[in-house]
Amino acid sequence: MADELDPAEALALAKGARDRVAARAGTPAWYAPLYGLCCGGLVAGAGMKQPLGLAIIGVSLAAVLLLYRTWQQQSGLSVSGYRKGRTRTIALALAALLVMLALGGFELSTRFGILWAPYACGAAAALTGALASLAWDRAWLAELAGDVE
Amino acid sequence: MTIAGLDPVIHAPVRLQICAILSATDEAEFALVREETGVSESVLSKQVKLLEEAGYVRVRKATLASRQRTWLALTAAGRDAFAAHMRALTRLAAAAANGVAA
Repeated sequence: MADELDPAEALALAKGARDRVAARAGTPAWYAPLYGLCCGGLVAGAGMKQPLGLAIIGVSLAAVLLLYRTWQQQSGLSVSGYRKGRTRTIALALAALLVMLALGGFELSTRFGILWAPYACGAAAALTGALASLAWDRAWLAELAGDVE
Repeated sequence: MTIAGLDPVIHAPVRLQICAILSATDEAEFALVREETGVSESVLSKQVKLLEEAGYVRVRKATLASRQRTWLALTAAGRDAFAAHMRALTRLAAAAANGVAA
């Protein structure tokens, strides 16, 4: 490989390297549904009877960690969910929505006695979490495929 | 920084690719970077060492699934330097395309 590159060659080389990483960076098909289930567990657990709810929250948190570690091990990459860019907006919006759903489920079950509310909020969180995971992936891959900065 | 804002530490082909890969992630495994740059382990180690000495790359060893793995990351200074280098390259490439001397 030549030591000196002209600017256009250097830009193409950097873009090529990023494109190759992008080709292997996406999460596998099972990731988003499992991530959604973890989100559902976190939200449902908040409104359920204790200590069962806390146990479900603990298992869900451990599952999220295990899920991420498995992907990290398979891909050889590590990336923060809250990294700069459109991905951060998606992650923050999901976090806010999960907190609202958890609080909603908790309030409806404890204050108004609607005992199925945490499960309904958990199901909504599971769906939202899975969709957000897919959206996050797409946003990251689009950034990788874009101009190198 | 040298002529036209190009950073000689980054501009070498292998180091440029290392920085491009690391700029896309928080960390990347040494093995992945070696595969994607297409160089030998010893060549990559040497290039990473140069980037590390310049303060652009951080090397971390960690055990994952009972296997020792080496992770590479751009430092904040490395991210800034790489971004500046890419801006300079873009400017020079545009100038060359327009037939203007940089």
